[in-house]
Parts: sequence; C-alpha cells; structure tokens
Amino acid sequence: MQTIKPWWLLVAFLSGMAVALGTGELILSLRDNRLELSAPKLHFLSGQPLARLHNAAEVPFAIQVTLYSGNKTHVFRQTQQRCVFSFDLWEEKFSVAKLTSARERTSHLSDRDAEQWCLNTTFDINGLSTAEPLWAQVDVRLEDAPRNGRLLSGSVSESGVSLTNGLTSLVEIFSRPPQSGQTHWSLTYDRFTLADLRRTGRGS
Amino acid sequence: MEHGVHPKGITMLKLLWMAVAVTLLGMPLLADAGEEFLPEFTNVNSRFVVESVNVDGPKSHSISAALRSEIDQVVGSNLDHSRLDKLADRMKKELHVSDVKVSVAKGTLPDEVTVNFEVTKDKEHGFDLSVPKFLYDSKQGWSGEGSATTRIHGNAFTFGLVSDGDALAERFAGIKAIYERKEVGTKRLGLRFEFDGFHEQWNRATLLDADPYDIYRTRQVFTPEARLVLFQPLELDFGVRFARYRLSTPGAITESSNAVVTTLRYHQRWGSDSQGSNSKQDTDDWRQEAEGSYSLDSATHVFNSDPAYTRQTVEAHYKVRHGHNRVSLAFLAGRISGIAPLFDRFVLGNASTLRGWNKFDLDPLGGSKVVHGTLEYGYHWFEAFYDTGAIWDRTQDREQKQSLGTGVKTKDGFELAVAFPVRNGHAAPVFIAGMNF
Repeated sequence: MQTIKPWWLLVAFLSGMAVALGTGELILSLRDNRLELSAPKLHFLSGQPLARLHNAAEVPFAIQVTLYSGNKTHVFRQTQQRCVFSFDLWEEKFSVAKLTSARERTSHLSDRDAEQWCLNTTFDINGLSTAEPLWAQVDVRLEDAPRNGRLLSGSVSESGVSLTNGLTSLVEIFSRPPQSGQTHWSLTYDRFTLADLRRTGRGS
Repeated sequence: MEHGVHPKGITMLKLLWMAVAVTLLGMPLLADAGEEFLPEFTNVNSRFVVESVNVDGPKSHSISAALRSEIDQVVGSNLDHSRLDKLADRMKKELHVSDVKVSVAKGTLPDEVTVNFEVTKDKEHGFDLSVPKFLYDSKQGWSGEGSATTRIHGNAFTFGLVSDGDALAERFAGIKAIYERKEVGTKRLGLRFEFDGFHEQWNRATLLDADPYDIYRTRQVFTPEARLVLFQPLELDFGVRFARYRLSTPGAITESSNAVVTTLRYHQRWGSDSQGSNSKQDTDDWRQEAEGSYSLDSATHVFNSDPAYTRQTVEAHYKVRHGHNRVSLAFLAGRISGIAPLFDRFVLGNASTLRGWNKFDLDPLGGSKVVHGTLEYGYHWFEAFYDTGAIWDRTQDREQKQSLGTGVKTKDGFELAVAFPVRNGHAAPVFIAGMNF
C-alpha cells in the first residue's frame, strides 16, 4: 500500500495558499441594511496594463459586482462600471475616473488605493431574509483602448453603462465569457447567508 | 389719447425675453460642456505639454513630409495619447514596418513630457522569392525575371534568372547574381555588386540593319556600385561597370565596354500612403510622389574600353492619388555621344514606352537620342494612357510618335492593356499583360 508522504501534503497546502493569495479574496461585511464588498488582495494594476499606465496611457477596466440570491442564477443586485486609470508621470500617483452617470473621479492614489476605489461596492439588501442563500462575485476585465480616436468622445450615455463609440457596452461585455487572450480576474464568495455574516462578527 | 407702452415696460419685456433666450440657448451649451468634461479628464497626463518629439529606428528618415509635419505639430500641444497612437499607426502603414512604439517620459521642465516614436526593425526574412518582371507583349512575346534573395546580418544575396525581350533591342537570357549591403558603417552608405551573364537573340530587323561587328552572342557584366545618401531625399549612386561581349563574327572576338556609372536620384513623397485602408479620412487624402534621376555613364579607354562614349539620361516621374483617382506623368530624355554598343542604346516601343508601337519598326538598332513622355489616368482598376516620344540618331530622322491605350491595373501591379499606335492607315493593337516593376 502506498502512503502519502508528508512533504506532498505540504506542497499541496502551499500550492493552495499560493492560488488563494494569487486570486485574492472577497470580503463581505454587513452594516445595517447594506452589504459591503471589497477585495483588498485583488491586484489588477500589474503587468502590461501597468506598463501602459507608466507610459502615460489611460487604461480602462470593466468591473461587475453581482449578488445572487436563492440560487446562483438569480441576480439580486448587480453593478457594472467602467473605470479608466491613468498614472501621473510627474507626481507618480494614480487617477481613476468612473464612467457612470455620477461621473466620479479621484486622484493622487497609490495603485492599491486606486484599485480598491473601483472595487468597493455596497448593496442595499432590504427585502432579503437572513436565511436566504447568497453568492457574491466580482469580475474585472481589461479593455483595449481604441487606438484611433479619443477613448470616450461622445460616448457616455445617461445610464453610464452604454459606451458605444470605440468601447463595447458593459452589458455586452459581461454577457459573454472573456475573449481568448483577454486579461480578466474573477472572485467568488460561495454560498452564505446574512445570518452567517452576523454570526461570524461581520455584521451588525 | 395716445396708447403706448411705458419705456420702462419695454426694458422689462426685453430683459425677460433675454433671460428666456439665454436660458434656452445656454442649456444645451452647458449640457455639452458637461459631456466634454469626461474625455479631457480620464487621463491625468492630458494636462502636460509635449516638450519634444523624436522618431528613432530604421526607415525613420523615410517618413513623408506631410506626416513629419503632423508629428512636429504635437510639440507644444497637450498630451493626447490617442493622437500619438494614430500617428504611430500611420507611420506603420507608410513605412511598411511591423510596429511603431510610442514612449512618453517626463520632460526636462515640470509639467512637460517628451514623446519618442520607435520604429521597430523588421525581422529579416531568411529567404524571399520575387518576380520583378513577368509580361506578355503580343508582338515581342514573353519576358520574365525571377529572383531568390537570402539575407544574413544585413547582407542580401540575390540570384536571378531572366529572359527579357522587352527592354533592349536584343532578347537577353541568363543569370544575375547580386550582393548588397544597405548600410556600411553608416545609414548613409550602401554597397552593391552585381554580376550578369547573358546569351543574346536578335530580331531579323536588327540583324538586317546592323553592322556584323555590332552583334554579340554573349555578354557578361560586373558592376560594383556604392550608394550615398547626400541628404534626404537626394541619393548618389556611383561605381564602375565592366562589360565584356563576344561578337558573332568569325573568330569570336571579345570586346569590352568599361564605364564609370553615376546616378543622382531624388525621391520624395507627400501625404500619407494609406493603401489598404478604407476609412473616409484616408480616401480623402492627397498622396503625391515625385522621383527624378540624372545618370551619366562614361566609357573610356582609361578603363580599357573598346568603345568610348558618354550616355546621359534624365528621368522624372510624378504620381498623385486622391481617393480612387490616380494620375501619373513620366518623362525620359537621353543622349549618347560617341558609339555605344547596342545594349546601351535607347529603345522606345516596348511595354513601358510608346506602348502599341513595335520597337523594331521605330528603330531596330535603338537610338542615340530619345525623348518620351507618358500621361496615365486610373480609377480603381481602370487605366488609360497616352504615350508620346521620338527616337533618332540623326536630327532629320526625328519623328514624334504617339500611342493610346486602356486596360486594367491592380494594386499589386498586374496590368492587362490594349494599346494602339496613333498613325495613318491600319493600326494594329498590341496586347500587354503582366507585371513590370
């Protein structure tokens, strides 16, 4: 009979840790009737997008945060937004513009703070029972900025989610799986209930 | 009693109307301003001013004057990355290179940036096959040239086979071997060595007119040449051409024609070369190209040349393209002083000059003086042309000839045309098909 050697278990454990650290984790917390989602370990400003930013280009990311209830196909709440990052060459700080109807913008951030500013999401959970099974998911996709013409000229609609000139609409982007070669990240918080969050001290 | 409006009432009314008008007119303006807000602020670097622009890499000196001017206009304006990307795309198309990278860095002064376009070096193709000439003329038959080139560390070695009954008074068939290095120590200097070995075939008309000592059976030519870029767009080719030819006369004497060869060449383009692009902006572009050269070949006894002569040639070519319309003008003038061998004499009435005429009808031995002009108009694949020219030895023999033709020509250079000589009496058309670069 073959026995599993202890160092194999160690390798498996470390591999699992590496995967977990690599993909980051989704953190949920409950405040009154609001569910806050954050992903402090998800770092998408790296590699080629970061190189483009350091070359004074603007880099758009499409971000979708979804809360499912009952089963994993029923969307209870969902936000979609496009965040355009740029890196100030002289101040060496990041700026982000959220292309929503609110037209939010922030600057003088570190790379981590800039990422979190886009990722942090709050959902109103009025109407959900504490025992309702829930799932949360964050999807981030790198978009190719169009090479000809301005990134956003005349393209912001009232809803802030339909950018047709040069960039594909967010609804369209997330309605299909990532294209081959498209850089993307996905984080999921598996089945939980509001009662679970309160029990583990992540709710009030 | 007069009914009237109190002056104050008029003023109030006017003010009210003005307020309404300003509100109505101003609302869309304010709304527009809101929409404009976003694009300008998505890139925090758009507030920086471009301090300088630099273009690096091979072929960077070949950018057209129009594109160079647009690149220069970036200096002093606010950084707009999409504008830089667009310029890089145009450079790629114009220079036919695989990539042009844009780099932006901090400038020497605060809030200023520098821009660098880096034209990437094209990957050397290990082996190329090409067909520089492949054509059929219903009077002169087939002509073709094929070559294979291999490049190793900037050195190009070409071997070619040729059978040409079009360019000269004779049909020559044989081999070509070329070694070329485009940059020798500096981008301004290139070297080229060419060896040709040909067997000749003669038309009956030429044999009847020629002195037996003018006719040769074989010909070998060795041409070492250098190319010097004086300043863009002016280049100078200079070298020596050693030609040996074995006469057809009994005893098979071999003669030499050794000449100093020099060509001063000018080539300039304006506008963007955006072939293959279908955008409206590209089809609205004017693209012009001018090419001119003056050649002086001097065969002298100093180089042990049997014939001593001087051959001067002036050529000019101007092309303009707007949308799908293209017009081309070409001019050729040449003069030979002294007695040149037949392969160095001028010929008219082939696939590129006086199309429709038979060169053996015009002058079966070629001429020592020539003038020729061509006007071509093309739209999409369609083309129409008018050729005129004269070839002569003695002034009293000079006679202007003309021809007209029409046909189709693809972007790749394939041409199918029918040409008519303009003359009294029966005009038999000539059909021309093929590629002739």
